[in-house]
Amino acid sequence: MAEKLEIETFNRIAIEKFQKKLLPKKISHSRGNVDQVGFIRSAGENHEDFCKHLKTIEINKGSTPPVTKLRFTEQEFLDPPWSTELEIARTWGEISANLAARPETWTRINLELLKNGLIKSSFLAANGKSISGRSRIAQTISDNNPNDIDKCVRTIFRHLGGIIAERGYRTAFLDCPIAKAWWRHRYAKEANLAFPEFEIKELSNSLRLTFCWEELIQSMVSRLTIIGDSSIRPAVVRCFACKMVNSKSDVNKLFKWIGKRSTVQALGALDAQDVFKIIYEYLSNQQG
Amino acid sequence: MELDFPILAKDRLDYVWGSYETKIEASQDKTKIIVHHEVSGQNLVQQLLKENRLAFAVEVSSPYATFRKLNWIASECQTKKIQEVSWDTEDIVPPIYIRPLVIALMKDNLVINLSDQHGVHKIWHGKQVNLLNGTILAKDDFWRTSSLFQSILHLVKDENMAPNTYRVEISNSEGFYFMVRLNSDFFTRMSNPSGAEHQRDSILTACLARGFELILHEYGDNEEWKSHPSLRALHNKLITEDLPTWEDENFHTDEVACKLCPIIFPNYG
Repeated sequence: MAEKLEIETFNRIAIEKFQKKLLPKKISHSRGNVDQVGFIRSAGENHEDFCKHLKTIEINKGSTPPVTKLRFTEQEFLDPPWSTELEIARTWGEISANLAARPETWTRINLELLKNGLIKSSFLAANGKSISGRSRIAQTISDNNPNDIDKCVRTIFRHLGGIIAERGYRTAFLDCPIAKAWWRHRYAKEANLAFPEFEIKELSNSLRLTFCWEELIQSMVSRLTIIGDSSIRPAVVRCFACKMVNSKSDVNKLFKWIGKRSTVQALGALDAQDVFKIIYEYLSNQQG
Repeated sequence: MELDFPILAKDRLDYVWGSYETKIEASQDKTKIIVHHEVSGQNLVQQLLKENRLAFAVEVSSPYATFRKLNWIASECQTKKIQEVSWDTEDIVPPIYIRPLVIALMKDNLVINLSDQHGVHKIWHGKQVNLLNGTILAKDDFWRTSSLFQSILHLVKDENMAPNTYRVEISNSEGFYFMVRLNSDFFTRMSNPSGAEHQRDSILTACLARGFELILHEYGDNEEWKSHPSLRALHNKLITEDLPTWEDENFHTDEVACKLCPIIFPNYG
């Protein structure tokens, strides 16, 4: 078995404090303050100052994180295509799940990408709409609307690794694009072992659908942790790949049913193929 | 197909005869546990264990790492068994939740007509049930590798704090908890109270009261707290102890904290 990669990460308490300082509560009426504007301005100018902001955060010891061979475009960074996903899996494949679940790990990795010029800090502010991160920052600074400034800071933190106070551990899985691609690839590989007739790419693509991904993560991390069972999750991913569920409410309904079934039958004792058969039977009955 | 099956558990009335008891010992480094399972009484679970149709199982779950795995050992016709379960620390993020179970392990389904011979409540008599692979026959409560109070109150050294003062803050690091900042002398006294345990516990009660206030402030008007397993556990604990929770209007933080962690005066008499 390959040695796990023990990389340097930011200290979680320190990063949480750093984020809280730059994300004042609404009640404080200090949204849009000088610190927030300075932070987004430095991101927009791709200035070393942006990295300097991050370098003030205390770190936990480890090796310097490796970086990708490719230079990301903004679009590739926000929504890594299959080829980029493979590069992400290759570069950070040896990171343990313990580290990969943490926003402080991905924030440190993104800092390394920034330092090596493989991403631009303005990418972090892009919200996937028609304007680039750089334009959004310029627009936000010029409009000087406190709420928009605050939203822009939040987007940057989310894309860096996630906002701990906002979503706890779910944040890296849901908000940080490269972390999302890393986990998507891991779940797709796991499902491919159980269902080799499906290629990893096909399984991974099925997890790109926002409603599938968000419901899956929200359930595994907090609401219905049984979905993360090593026999259940691959069966669920196969359902996604076969397009057996087509909306958020379908996924939600399926997960609730699995949760209910699991109170009387430990599906983790079955192999993933048998779990899939049970789910298939349920979904067929629903449609019939 | 009807899946309902009587379950032998502390909080269920399905069985009138027998019990499922477990004892869990965790290793120092929290990477391994030893679970002692024991089913007693004349009942269906014991009969099936003796027929070697069941297995003793332990579910290990680390939600923050999206990890969940069921480990089991065949009963080998025994009604008590010791099971050792370990995990790779690299796969998990604390807290870890453990749940002992007794499950069916079989290739073919088994149909059983329940009667008073099975030790079940009369409501089950005359019912036909299907025993499937994985059917849960007995279960115990979730158990975590650290106590609720250990996991909810974390003492942290902070040299910026004045001597003998503390401050309670919310932290989402390693799950939700209250971080109690203390300067190093105070921290040392709290960690090793040597003879001043009552004072230490009273301070922790006050910290918990402040923590409850912070929960009210943070989650008083929303349900976001439900996404934190430690807060769900704390909420359950309050309900089990028949105390109001932060969702109730009569939730007086100081009073609830004192009921949960009573202040005890040393007996000098």
